[in-house]
Amino acid sequence: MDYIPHSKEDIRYMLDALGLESIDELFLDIPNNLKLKEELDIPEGITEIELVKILKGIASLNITSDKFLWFLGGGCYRHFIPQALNEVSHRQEFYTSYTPYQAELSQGTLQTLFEFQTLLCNLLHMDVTNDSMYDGATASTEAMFMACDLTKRSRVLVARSLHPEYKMVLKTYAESRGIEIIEIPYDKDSGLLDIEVMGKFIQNSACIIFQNPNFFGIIENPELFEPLVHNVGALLIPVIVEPFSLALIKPPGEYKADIACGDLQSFGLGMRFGGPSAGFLATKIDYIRRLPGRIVGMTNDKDGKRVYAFVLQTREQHIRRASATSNICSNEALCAIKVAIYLSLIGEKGLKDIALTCYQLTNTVRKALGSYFSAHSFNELLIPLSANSSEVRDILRERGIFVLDISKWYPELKDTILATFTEMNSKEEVNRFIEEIMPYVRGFSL
Amino acid sequence: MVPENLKYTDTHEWIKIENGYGIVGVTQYGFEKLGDIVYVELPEVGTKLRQGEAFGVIESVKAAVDLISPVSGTVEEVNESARKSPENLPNDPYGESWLIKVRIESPSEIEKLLSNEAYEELIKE
Amino acid sequence: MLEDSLFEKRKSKCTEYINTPDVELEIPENLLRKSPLEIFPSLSEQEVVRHFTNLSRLNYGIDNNIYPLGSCSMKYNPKIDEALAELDGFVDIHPYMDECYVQGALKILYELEEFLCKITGMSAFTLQPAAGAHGELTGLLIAKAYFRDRKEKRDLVIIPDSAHGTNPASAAMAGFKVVEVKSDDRGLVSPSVIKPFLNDNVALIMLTNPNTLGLFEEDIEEIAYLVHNVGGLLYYDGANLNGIVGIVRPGDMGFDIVHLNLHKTFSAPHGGGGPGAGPLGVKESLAPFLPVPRVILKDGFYSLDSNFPKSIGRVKCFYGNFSVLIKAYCYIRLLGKEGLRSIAEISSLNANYLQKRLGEFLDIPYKRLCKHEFVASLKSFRSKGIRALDVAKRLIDKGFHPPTVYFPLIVEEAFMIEPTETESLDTLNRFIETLREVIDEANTNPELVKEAPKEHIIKRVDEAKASRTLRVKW
Repeated sequence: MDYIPHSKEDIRYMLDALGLESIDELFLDIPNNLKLKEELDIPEGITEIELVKILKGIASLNITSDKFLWFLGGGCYRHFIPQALNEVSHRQEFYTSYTPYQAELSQGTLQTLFEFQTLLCNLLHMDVTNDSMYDGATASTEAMFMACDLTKRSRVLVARSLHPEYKMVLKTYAESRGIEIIEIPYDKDSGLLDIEVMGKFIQNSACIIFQNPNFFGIIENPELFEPLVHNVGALLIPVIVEPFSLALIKPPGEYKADIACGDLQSFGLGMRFGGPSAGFLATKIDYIRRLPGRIVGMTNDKDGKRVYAFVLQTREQHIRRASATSNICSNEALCAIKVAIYLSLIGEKGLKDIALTCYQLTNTVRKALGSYFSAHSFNELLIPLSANSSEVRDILRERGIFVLDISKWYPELKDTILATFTEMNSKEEVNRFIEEIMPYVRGFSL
Repeated sequence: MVPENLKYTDTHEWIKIENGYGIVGVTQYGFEKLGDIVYVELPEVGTKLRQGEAFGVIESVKAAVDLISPVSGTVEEVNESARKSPENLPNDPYGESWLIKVRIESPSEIEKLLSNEAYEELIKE
Repeated sequence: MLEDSLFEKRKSKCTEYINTPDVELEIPENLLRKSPLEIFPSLSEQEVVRHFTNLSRLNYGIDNNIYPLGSCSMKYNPKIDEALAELDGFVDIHPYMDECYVQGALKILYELEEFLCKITGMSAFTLQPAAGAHGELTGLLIAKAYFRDRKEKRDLVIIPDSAHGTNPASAAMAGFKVVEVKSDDRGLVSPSVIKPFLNDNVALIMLTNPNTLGLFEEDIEEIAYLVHNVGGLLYYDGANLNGIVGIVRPGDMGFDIVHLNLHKTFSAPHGGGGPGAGPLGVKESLAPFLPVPRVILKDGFYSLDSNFPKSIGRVKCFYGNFSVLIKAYCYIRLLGKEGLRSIAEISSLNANYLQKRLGEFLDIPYKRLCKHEFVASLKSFRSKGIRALDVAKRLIDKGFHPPTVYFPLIVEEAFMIEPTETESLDTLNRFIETLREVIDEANTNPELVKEAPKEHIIKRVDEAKASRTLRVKW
C-alpha cells in the first residue's frame, strides 16, 4: 500500500497540464542506459494488516527486560517513564514538524527547547547548552574539537574509566583531525582517575575528558585535579552518562568545568536497543560562539510579545559551510523535547527521589557484597568475583539475572561484574540478587 | 551615490587613505545586502593584514560574511563601539561605523582598488 | 493564546511517581551537590500535560497542512510506523543483551541494510550514523581510511556551489580541503568545471542528484568517469533520493559512497529537528572500512561482528537510532518495490505541476523538467522592497507553511518548493491560489506583505534581537 492521494484522473489531468503523455516522460532527462531495467529487487508492498503481523512477530523474537531480574546498565539505563510523557511528546505538532526555522510557526518546539536549555543549565550549573547532539559519545567528540580549537592544542587526555564505546568514537574522530589521545589510567585501589599520571601529561594538552560518575559507577572528585588542569591552560571536560547523578553529586559548574557533555537517555528516552537517545553539550557563556548545534534564545515579536527563536545560526553549516563549528544539522530535538517534559513531570522532588533510590539500592548491595574499588559509588557497582566474569554472567543469566561483563573492554577486570540499580528494581529483587550472586563473590565464596 | 574620496573593493569594503594610513569600513550597499547586523568580529591591534584576505567577520541573522582587507598592513586601531553595538553599524556606514585603522604597507596596492565610479557601476543592478 | 513560561508557574504539589526513599547518605559532603535546583517546576501531571499540549498547538505539523519545504521532504508520516516502533519488544531491550535475546532487533537491522543495498545499488551499509550529516562524515572518514590503506595522499574534495551546507562542513570536519565549483547555466555541474581540479590529490567529488535545484545531473556518467580516472571517489548525498528512487540507482550512476536520510525518503518523522538516521552505503572495495560492529547472518542466527581490522571504528554508541530504523523498515515493507517507485513518480509529477502553474506568476530561473522539487526566485520584487522572507511570512497569515527561503545560495531570493508525493491535487491547487493571492498583494499592497504575519497569533519575530541579547535560559 502507499499514501498517494492521486486518482488516475488526477494524474491524467496533471500530465495534460504539463503537455506530457506519460509519467515516464518526467524522467526523460535521465540517461536511458542508467535507468533500472526491472523493478527493485525488494519485496512487494503489503497491507497494514500484514505489516502489523510481521512486525509483532519480529518484536516477539526480542525478550524484554521485564522477563528478567534486571541489573544491566553501562551507559543505557532502565528508568521509569510516565505515560503522560509518551502521550504528550507524541502529539503530531511535535513529532511531524520540521526544524523550527520559521519561528512564527514553531513556538511550541522553540519554547520547549528553551525550557530544556534552562532545566539542563540549572542541573549542570552551566551557562549555556545547545539543543542536543546525537548521543553522549558524539557530544564528547564535539567537546574535544571545541577544546582543541579553544586552546590551539592537539593532544587530548581521556580517562580509561570513560565508557569504552565513547572512547572508540573519540578515537575515530580524533584520527580525522590528527588529534593525539593519551589514556589516563584509573587508580587500582580507589577506581578514581589517576591524578598523578594526568599531571604528567596535562601540560600542552587541550583537555582532560573524564566520566563522572565513571564507567565503574565511581564518584570522581574533580576539585582535586581542577587546579592542575587550569594552571596549564587546559580545559576540564566531564562526561555525564547517568544524569540522575546530578541531583545528588556536584554538577560540572560547581567544579569549574569548561565544557560539560553527556547523554540524556535516562530522562524518559527508554532503552530502545541503544537509540535514539540525546547527547548534550554545555559550556561557559564566553564560549557560546564555539558551541556547535542549535541554540534557542528569547526575544519578542512585533507586538512585543515574548517569543523564542534560534540564535547565532551563522555558526552552523547551512550558513558557514566549510567554516562552521560542526557539520551537525539534524540533532535529536524530539528527544530534547521529551527530556523537558520528563523533567517537568517528575520535578525536583522526583529527580532527587529517583537519584536517592539508585544510590540506596547500590549502597545496600555494596554493604552486603563489598566493592572492587574503594571509592564511593552512585548507581553502579563493580563486584569482585572469585571466578571469571563471563562464567558468572552466564550462570546468572541462566537464572534470569542480567548484569554486565566488562572484561572484553577491561581485561584487567576479568574477575568482576558490573551491576546497575535503578528505581525500577524492587528491594526484593535486590535481595534476591545478593543471594544469587553471593557464592561467586570474592570473600564470600566457599 | 557613494563618497568620492574613498576607494572600494568588490566585496563592499571602503578605505579612506590619509598619510600612509587607511580607515576601513563597509559600504552602505554592503550593509543593505546583509540586513540586521548581529555581530562583528574584528582583529586585535597589531595584527598583520594581507590585501584580499579576511580580517574579520560580519554577521546578520542569516548570513556571515568575511571582511576583506583592501590593503596589506598592520592594524593600528579598532573601533570598539562597532564591536559593542554592531546593530548601529548601518546608521552611518562612512562615518561612525568605520571598523579598523591600518598602517599601509605598500601604497602601490591602492591602484588595484575600485574608484567611486567603478564601484557605483558594480552595484548598479 | 501564547503559553506562559514553565518557570513562572506557581509551584503546586508535584505528582509523585515513586515513593520517597529513606536513605542514609554515606557520600562525603564535599562530593555532594550544593547549588539549588530552584528553577525546576513543581506541578501536577495535569498542569504539565496542559503546558506542553498548549505549546504543541503553537506548532505547525504535517497533519495540519502542506509543508512545502524544499530539500526537507516533509511528507505524511504513517501512524502505523509510529505505533510499531513503540512495541515493547522494540523499546524495552538493551544494547548489551546477548544476541540470542535480540534476534528480532538484529533481523530488522540486517534486512534494512539489505533493502537499502538493493535500493541504492551498493554492496554494504552501516546503520550507525544518527543523521544525514553524520552519515556524510562517516563516508568521508571511510574514504580517508581507504586512501590511507592504499598509501595515497589525497586531501581535496570537490563540491558544487549548489550543495547542501553539510557537504563542505563534513568535509572540513573530516580534515579535507574543500574546493567549490560553480554550477553552469543549466543549473548543473558541467564536466568542464571539474576538469581543471582533477589530479591525484582529489579524494572525492560530492554530489546530490537530483541536485538542490531539483534537477538531474545529466552528465553524471562522464563526471564519474573523470573522477575515477584520477583515482578519486564519487560521493552521493542521498537527501534527494526520493526524486529518483526506483527509477535509477546511485550505484549504477557510478557513485561509490551513499548516505541516505531515512527521515526524508523513507518517511521517518522529522521530530522538529531529529532524531533522524543517516545510513551509509559503499561499494565492495570500501566495505572493509565500514564502522563496527556489523550485523551478520550465519545459519539462521544474527550476530554482531567487530572483527574488521580495517574498520574506521565506531561513529556512535550502540547501533544507530534503532526506533527510527524500524519506521523506515516498516515504510519500505508497506510500499514495496512498486510503492517506492511511485514516490519518485508522483513527487516529480507534483513538483512539475507546481512549477508549471507557479511559473505563471513567479520567475523560475532554471525552467526545465525537475524532479521532486524546484526553485523559484523572488528577485523581481526587490524593487518594491519585498524580500522572499516577506512573502514567506505572508503565507503564514494564510495558514500555509512557507517553502524554504534563501537556499540554494546560487539563486537570489530563492523560494525552494518540494510538495512531496502525499499532497493531493486539491491541496496543490489551494497552495497555488494562495501564493497567487500573496503575489498580487506584493504588487498592489507591498506594505501589507512587508509587515506579515499580521493575522497570525505571532507577529514577525525579532530574530536579530535574539542573537544580540543572547538570552539562552530563563
